[in-house]
Amino acid sequence: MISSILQSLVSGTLIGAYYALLAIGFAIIVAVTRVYNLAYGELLALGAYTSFWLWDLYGVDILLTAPITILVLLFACTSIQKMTSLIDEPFELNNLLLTFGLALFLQNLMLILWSADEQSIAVGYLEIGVPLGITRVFSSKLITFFISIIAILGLYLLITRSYIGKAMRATSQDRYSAAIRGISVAKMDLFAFCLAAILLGVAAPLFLSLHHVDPFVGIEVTIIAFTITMFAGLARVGPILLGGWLMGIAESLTSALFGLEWTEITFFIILLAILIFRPHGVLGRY
Amino acid sequence: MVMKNYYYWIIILTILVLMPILIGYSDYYLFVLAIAYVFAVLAVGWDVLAYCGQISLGHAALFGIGAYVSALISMNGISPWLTIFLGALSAVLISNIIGLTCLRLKAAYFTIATLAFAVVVKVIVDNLEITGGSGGIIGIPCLSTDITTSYYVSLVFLVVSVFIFHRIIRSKMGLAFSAIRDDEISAQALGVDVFRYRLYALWISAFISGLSGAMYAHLIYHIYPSTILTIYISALPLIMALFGGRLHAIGPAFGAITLYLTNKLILHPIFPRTHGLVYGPILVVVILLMPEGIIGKLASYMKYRGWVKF
Repeated sequence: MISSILQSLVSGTLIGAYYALLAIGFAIIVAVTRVYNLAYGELLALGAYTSFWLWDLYGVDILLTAPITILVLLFACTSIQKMTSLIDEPFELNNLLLTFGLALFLQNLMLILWSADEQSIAVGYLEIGVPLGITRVFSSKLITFFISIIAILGLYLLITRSYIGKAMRATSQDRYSAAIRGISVAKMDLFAFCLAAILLGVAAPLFLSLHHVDPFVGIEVTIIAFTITMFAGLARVGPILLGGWLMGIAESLTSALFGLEWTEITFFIILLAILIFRPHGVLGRY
Repeated sequence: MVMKNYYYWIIILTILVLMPILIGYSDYYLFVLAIAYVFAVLAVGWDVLAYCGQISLGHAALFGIGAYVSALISMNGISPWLTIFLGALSAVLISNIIGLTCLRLKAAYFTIATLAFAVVVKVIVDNLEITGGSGGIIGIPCLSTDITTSYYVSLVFLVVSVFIFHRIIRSKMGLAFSAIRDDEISAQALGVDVFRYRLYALWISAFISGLSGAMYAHLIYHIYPSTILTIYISALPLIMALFGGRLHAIGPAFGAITLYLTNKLILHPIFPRTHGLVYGPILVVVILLMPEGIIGKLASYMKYRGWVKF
């Protein structure tokens, strides 16, 4: 019992970094453009399918498909950004509906292109059991963990140390003042979507190494990203990482204690609990 | 040509009542129309809440609760005519969970919270013994073996729910709803009890949605979590109501009937695999080009030409 709990703590920590990677893209879009992108998970699924196709048809190594998925998602995200910039008031609600429509479209498109079957990959070097203390984890989880941490670190440096990152933070704090000071707010919106696309493009092949993909995984991913964003507040990387770890641990503990079929609703129940008890965010104001 | 408003209603109603004769009592078309009316009732139910400014993505849960409760009770030998209302009442009961937890949230959060609520309900129904798990329920008793009777029953439910919605819009409650929708804080400052009116909207919405779910179960005879508790069922009333025009009493019903019939009778035979693809783009186009919907456009045009007085 103790060892299974320890096992789930370790794997929850490894998965948690990946969840944080997913949440950061969502949070950047919300912080800069105020768009709650309900098509976010579907974009990840689209990237995962692209990567699956490259692996299945052309035998490309799964981790090396990232550049292509980044390109595909950059195209998709810039199109979505162009659409959201055409929206009238009430901005938030209409964008929610618009991205929901896109999510439905992408779901059905993937259903037609790849059918409703669950697709997963089998790669030798991702399925080695690595001993870690008294527990054992799959190498896929370790690889995912390290790539996620590197990507999050890179993003953190970009946001805090570069000029464009500074401009983006200014836009997220106050659009109007940022525009007065000569920041092109429209370009910042586009840049936020592009950053999210790059993060998703990195995350998509990793998703395939952890989980099977079917056209309906998107909604769960969106909810994970939204919940962590709610938990952590916007525009700060540290709390998002913490939120990711908590979600990962909560998920793997649920599956260890109650059984696999209930893990699906862990995130949803956490989300409902946060929305009910702390609707302004848990760590800092949302 | 100045016509009084209710002439339009009488003409539409006469056509709908005479529809079985017009299509020659064809069982298939009557059945498709009955299902279209059931979805129209669902769209009206969704729109009562949306009229109050709360966009819900969780109506599949209310629809599904109505369907499951009515189906389970009627399989123990109680008449479906009674259990339909029991299903609707239990949807109202469950909707209090949304009411107490999510109704105080800001608009965008409410939408995502209801999305989460629908998934929770689906997973619970999927894993319980009594609901038959993911195998669903098969062999639900039907309302009437005669399809024409079923047609008229769903028509009556549709007309009654549209009429109720129309009366709500014209009443003091409707004024409160639109005040809350336009500006919550101003409404509160003027003495509108925002939470109470939202709760009323939610109850009415849950009752109508539960009713449509129960009707659906007794028309189709078999229900599965994977067909009636999905995001697709939550999306349908939203798209239909927005397409028809969500600020007019007849908008959601018009949108539902048009879209469902177009999809079922025209797109489904031509593109058997890809007909589900149209709903997403329809939603995107409606949001971008005409947020007021078809009936909204039509009404403002007719008002401009002086054909009707509003």
